[in-house]
Amino acid sequence: MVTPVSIVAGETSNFKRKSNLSIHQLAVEPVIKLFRNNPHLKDITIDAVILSSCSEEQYLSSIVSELLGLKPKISNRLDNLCNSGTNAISTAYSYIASGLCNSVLVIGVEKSDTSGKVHKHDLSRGEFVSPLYWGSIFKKFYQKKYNVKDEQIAKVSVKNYNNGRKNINSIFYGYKKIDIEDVLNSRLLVGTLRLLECSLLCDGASAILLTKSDYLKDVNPHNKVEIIGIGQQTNAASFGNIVSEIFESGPAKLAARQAFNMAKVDPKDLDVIEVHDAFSILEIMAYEDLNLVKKGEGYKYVTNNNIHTNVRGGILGCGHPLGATGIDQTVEIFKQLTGTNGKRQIKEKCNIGLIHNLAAAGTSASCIILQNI
Amino acid sequence: MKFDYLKLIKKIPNKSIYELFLDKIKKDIFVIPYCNHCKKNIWPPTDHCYNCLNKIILKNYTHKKGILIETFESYIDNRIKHNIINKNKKSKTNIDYNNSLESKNTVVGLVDFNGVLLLGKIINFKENSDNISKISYIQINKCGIDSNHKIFYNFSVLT
Repeated sequence: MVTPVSIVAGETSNFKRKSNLSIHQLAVEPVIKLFRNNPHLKDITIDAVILSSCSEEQYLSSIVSELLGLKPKISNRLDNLCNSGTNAISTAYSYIASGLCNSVLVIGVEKSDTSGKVHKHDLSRGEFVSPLYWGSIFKKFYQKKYNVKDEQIAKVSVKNYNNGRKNINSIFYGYKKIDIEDVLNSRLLVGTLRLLECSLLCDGASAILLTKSDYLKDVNPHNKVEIIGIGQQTNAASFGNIVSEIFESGPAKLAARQAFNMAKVDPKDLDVIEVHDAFSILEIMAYEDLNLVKKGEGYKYVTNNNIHTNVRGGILGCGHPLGATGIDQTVEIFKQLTGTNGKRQIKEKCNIGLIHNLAAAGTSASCIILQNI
Repeated sequence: MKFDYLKLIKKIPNKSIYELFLDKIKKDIFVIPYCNHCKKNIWPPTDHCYNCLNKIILKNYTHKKGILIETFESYIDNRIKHNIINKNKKSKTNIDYNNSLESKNTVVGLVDFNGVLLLGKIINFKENSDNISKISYIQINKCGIDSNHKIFYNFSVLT
């Protein structure tokens, strides 16, 4: 018997290109914000702390627990490159669903100089270790295969940067509005990939609190969002071992199928989604992997769809603190579902939302589906 | 008492396939692990076949042909140079920048060596872009470990 699991609160600190804070101080920030904004949770017993980060710092989870005055039964750290945050939430779900814990605090944190920015194991990349190279290959393959023009892909950047500039936590908050010309005139980096089509690593942290669904029924009768579907798939670790299958049966497609099967919902039931857009082309591929559109039609979906996508600005529009990204994505969907997202709230209350995340050239992927109960 | 050299040699643990791969690449020899049982290349280098778990051998690919799957240009080195020259300018557009790009950018190739896909620099790529569709075979011209401790593969186009 699986115990239903709910998200009861989530907060994100302001992302910064570079901050003076240590990784420990950064990690503490969103948790303090979470408990300040949810005073009814202050006496809750935290059974486990899972910290998601690609940092080289040792014993991070226990140090952060100590700094927060927590004495959890379980305290550990999870590192899976860009996918770390969503994987940490899946792990937290498992702890609660299995009955091992009643409540789990998941914290994601990263500094912009993280060791996670280079995937050292991947010998396929040779000296071209930067993710820009595989991002460029995916874009070129897609453009060739489906005859898609640069300006059609640039719409992703325009949408997400313009969403990000309205998000107070984004590194681009308050920036000027951009248009397709700005994207197409931004610096060419690799192949046809331009500066405004690529996300920027930054400092940031995000935290989310999960509990057994009936655990807080007295203190937290509202804001109840349940995790109804989880899918995770890892097909490789090296770029060279994934590139031939990424457009057909890549991990994201399989993870999405698992999550939809578990949740027993269809893509058409979704109200709001956060998808991995470290490069503009990845958002278009995500639409297709999530079965929102047919293969080769993802680029049409950017501006012509019924589902609100990357309202927080996505990774392009917010910045990319690797270990925190998946958690911030989930916080955004949680807030949209509870109608507590302030100016970014898309409608009074959404019913179902999805989080899609990738790591290391899409070699692994995860999908989480949330429902407002 | 005579020292038993043979005994000493036996005590030295065998090198892993990964270490042997690095030893070879340092000597400009490109090898790919191969499973004799599955008749398949194994990548990345590891001591056992990920399919049948049998031990694997290393096959020399230095002079073997690979198929060029895709090429693209990298402007990143030039961007760094550009930033050094124009460090006081904070332009966000690339009009001046594109004009300032040197004509010779790095051409990167994605090459398939019998199922093993690698990214490397193409050293003799002709600037005429029409060639991209015509070129199909490539050979490793040089490989090694650079001063930043990164493995590199330089490819030459076989026309």
